[in-house]
Amino acid sequence: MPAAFGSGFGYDGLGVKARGMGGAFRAVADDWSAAYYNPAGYNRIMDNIMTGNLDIFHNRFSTTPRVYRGDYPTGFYNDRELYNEHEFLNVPQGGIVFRLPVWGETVFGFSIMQTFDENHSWELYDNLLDYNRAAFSKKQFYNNLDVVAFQATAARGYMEDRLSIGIGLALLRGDLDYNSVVFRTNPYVDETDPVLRQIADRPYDKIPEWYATTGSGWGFGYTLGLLYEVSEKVDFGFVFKGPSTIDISGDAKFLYYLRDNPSLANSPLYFDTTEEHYFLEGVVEDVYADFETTLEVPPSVSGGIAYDVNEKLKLALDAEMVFWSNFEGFEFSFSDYTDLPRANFTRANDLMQKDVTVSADWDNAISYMMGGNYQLNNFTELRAGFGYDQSPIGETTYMPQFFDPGDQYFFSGGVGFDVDFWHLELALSYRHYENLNVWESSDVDGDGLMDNMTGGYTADKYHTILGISYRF
Amino acid sequence: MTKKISVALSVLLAVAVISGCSDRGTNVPGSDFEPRKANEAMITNVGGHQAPYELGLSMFIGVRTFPAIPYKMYTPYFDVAPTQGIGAKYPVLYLLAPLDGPDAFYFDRGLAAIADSLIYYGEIDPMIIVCLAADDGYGGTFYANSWSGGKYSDAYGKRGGGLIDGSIIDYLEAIYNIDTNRVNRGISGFGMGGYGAFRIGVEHFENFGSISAVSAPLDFDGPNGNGGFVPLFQQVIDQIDPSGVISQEEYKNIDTTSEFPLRTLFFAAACSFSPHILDYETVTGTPPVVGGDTTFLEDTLTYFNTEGTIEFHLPFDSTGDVRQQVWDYWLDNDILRIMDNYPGALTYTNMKFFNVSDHEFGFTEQTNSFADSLGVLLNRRLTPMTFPGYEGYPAVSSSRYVYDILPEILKFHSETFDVPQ
Repeated sequence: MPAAFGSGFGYDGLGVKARGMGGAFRAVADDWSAAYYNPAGYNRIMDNIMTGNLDIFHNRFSTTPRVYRGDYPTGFYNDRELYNEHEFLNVPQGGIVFRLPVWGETVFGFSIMQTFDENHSWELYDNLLDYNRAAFSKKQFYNNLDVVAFQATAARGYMEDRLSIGIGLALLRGDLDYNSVVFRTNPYVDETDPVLRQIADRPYDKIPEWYATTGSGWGFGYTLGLLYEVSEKVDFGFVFKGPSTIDISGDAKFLYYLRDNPSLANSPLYFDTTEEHYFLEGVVEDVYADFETTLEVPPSVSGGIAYDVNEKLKLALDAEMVFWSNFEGFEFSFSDYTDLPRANFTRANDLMQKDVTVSADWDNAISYMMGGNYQLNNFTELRAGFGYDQSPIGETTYMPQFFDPGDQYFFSGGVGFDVDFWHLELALSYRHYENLNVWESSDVDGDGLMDNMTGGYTADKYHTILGISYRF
Repeated sequence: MTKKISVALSVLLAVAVISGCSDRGTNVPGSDFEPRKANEAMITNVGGHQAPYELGLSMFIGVRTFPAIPYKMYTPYFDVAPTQGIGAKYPVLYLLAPLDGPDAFYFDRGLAAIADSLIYYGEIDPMIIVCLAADDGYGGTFYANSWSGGKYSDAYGKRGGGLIDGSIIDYLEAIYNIDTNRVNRGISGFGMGGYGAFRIGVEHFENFGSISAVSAPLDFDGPNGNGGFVPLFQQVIDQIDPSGVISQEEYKNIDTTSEFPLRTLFFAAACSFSPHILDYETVTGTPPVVGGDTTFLEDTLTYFNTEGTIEFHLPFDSTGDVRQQVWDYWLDNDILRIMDNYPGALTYTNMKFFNVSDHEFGFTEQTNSFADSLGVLLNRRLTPMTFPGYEGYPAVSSSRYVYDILPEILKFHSETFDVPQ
């Protein structure tokens, strides 16, 4: 199973205890979430456990667009700080762990957990004055990307249980809702005849296209874990998560906002039935298609050390490298178009049947996590943690759909209560991103569409994670 | 004690999370303002104002059914019917279309929404904007004052006539609620319209308080006598015959549709500056009969339409070389040369120049050259404001950037207007 941790589109709300300790859990790995952090940890779980978690989180992001075409306005709400759509997101997850006397004594588990998540929506744009008054979707720049792992985990001990080895095999479900606004060059721009060329005079030089894709797909992933008891007080964990490919397919909708200029459309230059007239009469053309794309989920390696300071206090330190350079964005390939303009409108048909590439020129990223767990009394644990997480996303392909503007510092705290066979937990986490300013517009794949969005970006993220477990 | 601390910390963290997760609402810009569409903001006089005296003798009278001045008028955002005599009077800006531009030229490029927005947000004074066409003949005749091409300068710029027999100014001021003070009357134009603005602004300087022009042919031969239009002569020839030489037969079969604006630009100018019958210019009584050849210029390119009613000479020969005799007639129409006949004409006129960076016909250089010369003459700083293109969309034509330049023009003229607040 692939791995990630907070940066990129990694999900950072998995496991109450793990999050309470700032994610420094690979050498601890003593609850159901070890399926994610280190499957080998299952070997140290003595009881059968059934756990449910609920993460309630809130992305508090802002974008200040500065998108110009040369020196000219584009319709973006430039130089205004705009917030993402206010929303509380809920991620339920959980698992069951049970020790069976097979192959010696092997611990098995099954868990459903979200390993990748991106979910935010932006309204950053409106057509320029006099272009076309038709309203835009509020979800103009939107990405709801979920990867959920249905994972079977197994672990057992060696060397008198000083060494534990675990493996997780996961069926990955990927769901993707991705919207964006791109600007197509008006097909009349290069005309030499002034009568035709004026169809593309500013602000009609670019034609806004809003597209929305909704699709899903399946993939396969795996995780290998190792946990080694170096001494009575020190444990060491190592984890490798393999890469995965999820083929996603679904439906796409496009809206093309054509110039609404009755003054010119009704001039004697353009007859009602011509394609020129079509480009001037304010049509908002909605076109539908099927789409396919591939989600390349990055591999990772990670390791951690846990140290028992005394009987009550455990400290842990982890590091993880995620190979985000494997992720190359989305190449949306569209087919089976419906509701296209009439076939003899060749410019319009050409304009409205183009594939879209969402470029991602990302770097590998590393994160460091440190946390502690303090046994306050027989039934109460207190936890705290903090960490540093690199952003893999450079300026050249930074778009607000993947909101990870800068390196992050995160702080967390948590508490756990044992009540008979029940264990109740709470973790709170705050993540602060360094601000990003993107000044240079780029088109890395040369398709004529911008691959980044110039502007300023700020981000904070809040998690509240609740958990309940039952031992049996 | 430890328990109390842990509870307190938990409460603090919870408060921090809850406050951090409060709904910030939306700060997406919203406004009740809704600009009008072009057809909602314009008044159109379908027939146009009749001008039989100024336009009735031109070569194009056979093409046009009657000698009229079509116009489209922008009504201020807060007053869709600015009736004469009701309320405060509005300043007026005359916008002249470039080559082959209809009276809707500026409306087609966002004038209504731009002006509505600027007025709504208080960036300009409410004003009336009159848009005049340049679609006569080969795309207008440079707004010159020529019997052959039409006495547009008088038809658009003079005052003192009446509702029926006056200029477009007289006509509009008799109907609409327009301020008649010079300071509150401006004139502007893009390309050839910019030339027209300055020509009319000079020849009728007593009527216009402000003039502006965008990439206009204002210095026909450039700063050194070999610039301006001169390098374009060969381009016209090459466009017709890539060998660089054209025959009389090729010339007679030239495609003169608007698809080829470079050549029609010269045709449009020649109709006014170098018509076949040169004494058109001086005839003020009975017009001469079209078709006479007493002053035919030998060995020059001469265009005759098939009806034999349109005749003019171009300032270059079949190889693109200058024909000085004709060229001299053109240079007589250079704005600086015209100013010799109107001493002090622009002394009390507010002026501003605009340019696109890469005008395909070199009008940017002509505007720069003229602005420099005029600045020296009037001891004023008249540096043009330049609008560059962007990648994939070069600024080869001022028409492309009307949408971006127009707000600056409206602001400039609004600043020069003297409107009681």
